Amino acid sequence: MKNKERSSFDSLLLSLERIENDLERLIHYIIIFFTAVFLAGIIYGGILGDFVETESVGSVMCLSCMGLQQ
Amino acid sequence: MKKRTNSKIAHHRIGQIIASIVTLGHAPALWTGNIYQGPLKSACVPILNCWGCPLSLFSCPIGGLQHFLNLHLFPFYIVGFFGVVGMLVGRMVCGWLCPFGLFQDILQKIKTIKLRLPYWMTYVKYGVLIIVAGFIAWYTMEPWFCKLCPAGIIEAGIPLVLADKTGDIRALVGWLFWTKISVLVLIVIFSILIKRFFCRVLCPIGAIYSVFNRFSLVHLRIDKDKCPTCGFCAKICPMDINVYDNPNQKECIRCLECVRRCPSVAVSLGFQRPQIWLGPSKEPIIN
Repeated sequence: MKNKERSSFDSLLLSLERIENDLERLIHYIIIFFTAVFLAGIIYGGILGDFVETESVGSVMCLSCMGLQQ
Repeated sequence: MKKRTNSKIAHHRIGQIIASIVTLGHAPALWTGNIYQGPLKSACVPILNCWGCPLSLFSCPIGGLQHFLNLHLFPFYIVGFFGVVGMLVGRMVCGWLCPFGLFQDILQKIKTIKLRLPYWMTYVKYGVLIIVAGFIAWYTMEPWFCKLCPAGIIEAGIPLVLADKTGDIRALVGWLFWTKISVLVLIVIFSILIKRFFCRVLCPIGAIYSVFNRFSLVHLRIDKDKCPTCGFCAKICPMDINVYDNPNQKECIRCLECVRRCPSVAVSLGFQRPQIWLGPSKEPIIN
């Protein structure tokens, strides 16, 4: 009887371990998916000219950012 | 068996120093005073970095965000950039790369009375992000967070005014300069008294990454069997977190001081894992 209980407990733990492994994989897939979505955002922004815009704005000395006014 | 490292200098400190040198690495600005204009400026660094200042080599993501909002455009590049960094490492960049974080860590070394920050105040930064860096920037078409940001006045405002020989720059000092100085003085005082005051209360970049902290790929783990809940990790944590309670809460900057210095070696860095695990380790329960 005790052996049977132990064996069912062991199989429960084994199932939990499998579920955990599956969930781990699922979580990693979700992270990879969203990272890919955000990466696509960067690429799309690049196509729209965001890099050029960022470079041109960043190349101008921003006096107000330094607390200076004209 | 894994052992606690005994190196005196924190590893994240080396990262902070290198990142500060790299991001503020436009050395010719020291004698010419001219801003860097080149392809590196199209790349954002994932930290607070005054991109309108002469020493800066890269762009600031929060400055970029405001700029696109000023133009009433959706900032695909900036949102994507924040998302990728957030999904992968969460707030780790705040602990390892931010020069302003390094500045606050140095201020915190000043020996004086130390205060604990009420937890509700950590929500103020979401207001700063949404209202100041978001709505006001969009509505007024002016980057108001940049106008108040303390990084610009440290990295450029004060040095330029002090180094000015002709008086041209001193002539530009006005109410904005003194407002920024006042903001900086307040932040310096609070950063001496409270650990990483700016990061926890005001930083909009920290606010963005903190949302990702729970979901990011890089995660801290506590081995509950090893942890005696001695509270040492909470004592040394630069963000005043009870690491043994919840190591991946929104404020954790993953500086890994708790990993490095935990006497029981109970904290470790790893990848995201579900929380249903019952066993003490990753070893199979049944052999």
